[in-house]
Amino acid sequence: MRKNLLHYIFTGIVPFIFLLSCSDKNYSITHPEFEGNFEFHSLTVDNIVSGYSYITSPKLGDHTYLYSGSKNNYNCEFTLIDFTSYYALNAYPEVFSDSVTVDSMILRIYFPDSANFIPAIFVSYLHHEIDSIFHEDKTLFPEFDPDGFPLSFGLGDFQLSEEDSNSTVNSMEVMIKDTAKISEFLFYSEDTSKCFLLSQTETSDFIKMYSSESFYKPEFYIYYTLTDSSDSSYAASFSLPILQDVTLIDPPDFSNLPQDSIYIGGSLFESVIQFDLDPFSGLPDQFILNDDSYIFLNTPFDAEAGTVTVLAYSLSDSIIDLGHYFHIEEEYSVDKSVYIPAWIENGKLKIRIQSYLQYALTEEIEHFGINLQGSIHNDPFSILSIEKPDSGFSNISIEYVDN
Amino acid sequence: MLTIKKLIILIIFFAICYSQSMINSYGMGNPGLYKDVASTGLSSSGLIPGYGRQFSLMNPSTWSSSKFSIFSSTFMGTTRYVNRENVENQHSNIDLVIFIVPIKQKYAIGVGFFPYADQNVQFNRTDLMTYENGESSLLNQSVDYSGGLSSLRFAFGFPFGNIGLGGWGFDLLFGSTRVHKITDLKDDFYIHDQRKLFNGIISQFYFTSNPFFIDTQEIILYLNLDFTMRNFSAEVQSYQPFIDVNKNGIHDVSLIDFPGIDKSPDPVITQFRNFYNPIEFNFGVNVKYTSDISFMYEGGIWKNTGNTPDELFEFKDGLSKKIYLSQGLIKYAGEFPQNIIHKLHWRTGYSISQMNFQNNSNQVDKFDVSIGMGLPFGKLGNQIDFAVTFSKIKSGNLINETVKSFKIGLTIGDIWFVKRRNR
Repeated sequence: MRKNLLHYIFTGIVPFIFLLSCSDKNYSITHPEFEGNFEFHSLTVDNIVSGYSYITSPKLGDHTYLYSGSKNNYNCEFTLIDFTSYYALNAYPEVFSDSVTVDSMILRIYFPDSANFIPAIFVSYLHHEIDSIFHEDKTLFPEFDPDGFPLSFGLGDFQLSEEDSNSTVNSMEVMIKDTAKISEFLFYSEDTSKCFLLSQTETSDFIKMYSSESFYKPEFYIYYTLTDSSDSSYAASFSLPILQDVTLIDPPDFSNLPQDSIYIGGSLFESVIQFDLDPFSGLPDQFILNDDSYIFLNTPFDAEAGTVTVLAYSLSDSIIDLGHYFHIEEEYSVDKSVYIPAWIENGKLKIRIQSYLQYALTEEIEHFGINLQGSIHNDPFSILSIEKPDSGFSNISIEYVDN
Repeated sequence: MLTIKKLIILIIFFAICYSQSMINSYGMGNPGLYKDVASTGLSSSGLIPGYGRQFSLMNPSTWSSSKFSIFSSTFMGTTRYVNRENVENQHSNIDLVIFIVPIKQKYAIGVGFFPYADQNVQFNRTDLMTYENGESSLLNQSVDYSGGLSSLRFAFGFPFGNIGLGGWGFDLLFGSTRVHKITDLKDDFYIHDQRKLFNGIISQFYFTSNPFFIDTQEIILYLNLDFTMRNFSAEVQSYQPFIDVNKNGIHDVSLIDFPGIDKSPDPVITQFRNFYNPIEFNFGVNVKYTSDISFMYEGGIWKNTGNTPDELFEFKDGLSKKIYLSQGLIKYAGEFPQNIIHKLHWRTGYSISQMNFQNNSNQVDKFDVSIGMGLPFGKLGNQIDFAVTFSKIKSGNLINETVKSFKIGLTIGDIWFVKRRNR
């Protein structure tokens, strides 16, 4: 019995120790016939790109700045700023119920440029019952009537703010001390949307101001004095949060633009470029486009246009070419998940089509073309013109790897 | 119970791996390398009994001679030295698991599982890539093949008239090879993965003659014929190549790798047939020198009559023919051993083999020398076996490998399918 037991222990332990003592080493070796895995190729196709521009409505709702005045024949006469009193109404009911407690109100707007002079900008308060009178993404210059608000009243012109040693940014402000205007402003307490219209009559002067999308947002302060139960009075202030703001742009007439260019920017120009996939049908079944794959388009030298940031997106639906500079109401839908960086370099607009073309050729996306538009951070009055690809230079250059 | 299951899964996980040899990159590799410890000790293919006096784990026609049902497993550790590059690789794997049940010492049935062919190998290459503008950069490329074919064997032993014993078996061959190709250019990692699925069935006939005498020498003949019963097929799944931006070796989604796996087409699937059609004939002679000592002589030829397609294998080539001759000597353990020497089976042998390729004239020479021993214990056919093999593989300047392997096998026997009387 003991002998058998020893046998079993021996036969069990030996393989187990052997199993544990084995370790795998797997180093690679060379083989004279191993020629590698991938081959690197390049392909250039000229003049297969076509393109045209169209005009959208100028929308600056998400823009970092507000404008007043005229630049590059764009006219910025009106700016709308909307604050809300909703929270203040609940936090300071005694101020809203008794306008006598309010000493003054200040509307302050910051601007980036150093200036000793600001253009004449008149501020009006626009009352419109309980709803806002505009929408920063939808309200456009042609549809806006500044005289369509019977309960509006003027608050005065902006003045350059006194120099503030605590601030490195210049500002301008309108101070309202007129008790009648304060009373009227606070009277419509159901109207929690406190909307101001900034109008500039002398449009030749131009100023750029920080909008609600920037760090230095427009501010509206209410200063008041209250008397407490012990008959002692104290002065304090609160501000109203800003909801939205927009400058309404009146663009120049572009009907005489040269037909041999396409345009991007100017807050309203977008373009579409399209090309046929047939020249790429010779690519192997499985390939990878590398990042040196571009569409090149010619851009005439223009220092200001050179600062325009171009955004390229894959169109996600088929579009009908309605002609050059046609005005469209609804913007074309795009697929922002496909990364198509674009920039200007050495007089060329370079559009990296690595992702777009890879996915189009492997049918992971449908090939409707590429939409080119300006960034919201661009100067809205700068336009980038590009030589129309079907009447001038265009080139698609790709590098790919196949197995 | 759960722990035992986990242990089994763990053992299978790291045990079913394959060795790395240059030959593995040609066609289906080099089949027939995997066998039990006793046959390894004799440098035999397994045709001639080495496990016991009349019993070979690899030869179904000898199974009915066993008095006991047996379960045998073989584990192997190998060191392979690639002389040309001073590279030493090691691996370990289960070589054979087989369960054999003799029936009334006339018939036998068995089920086994073992690796059939091995396609595990890694190659690398470094080039200098020069661009049109005159700049150049290093191009590092590597390909990693892993996997191979496994065999599930069902076999039967039966009497073959009055002249001997017969055996009939089927090897259901299946498996996959994963191909992982990486190219590094300017720190961009281009990866292409493929998966090759293989399957086919090989049928085998075995014959063991009754002992006969020439002069006073007792001689037994062994024959074996293998052929393809169901044609081999292969499916190559070629996945979308990608740039491994985060360098983790895995195809991630499009925000990480390019093109992302979420924006990649389905793998391109290609089917192959008639690329592997092996036929094999082996013969063996067992000459009994004394009642305990036998000389073994064995030889065989293996041919692949299929055509290797260019797209299926890296080097567009595979083995076409293999011939071998081997000689072994065994001293069986005594039935009533008086000392430790007589308690053990002692085995030694050598073999010489030669392999040819389909599409090139290179010839591979292989030389093996082996020794082994086996220790029977208990009364129910238990045995533990050890074998050591030293091999040289050479083919001109292409292949020059030295292989040392050590095998250990454990066989547990018992009496099955016998009614036991209540005492």
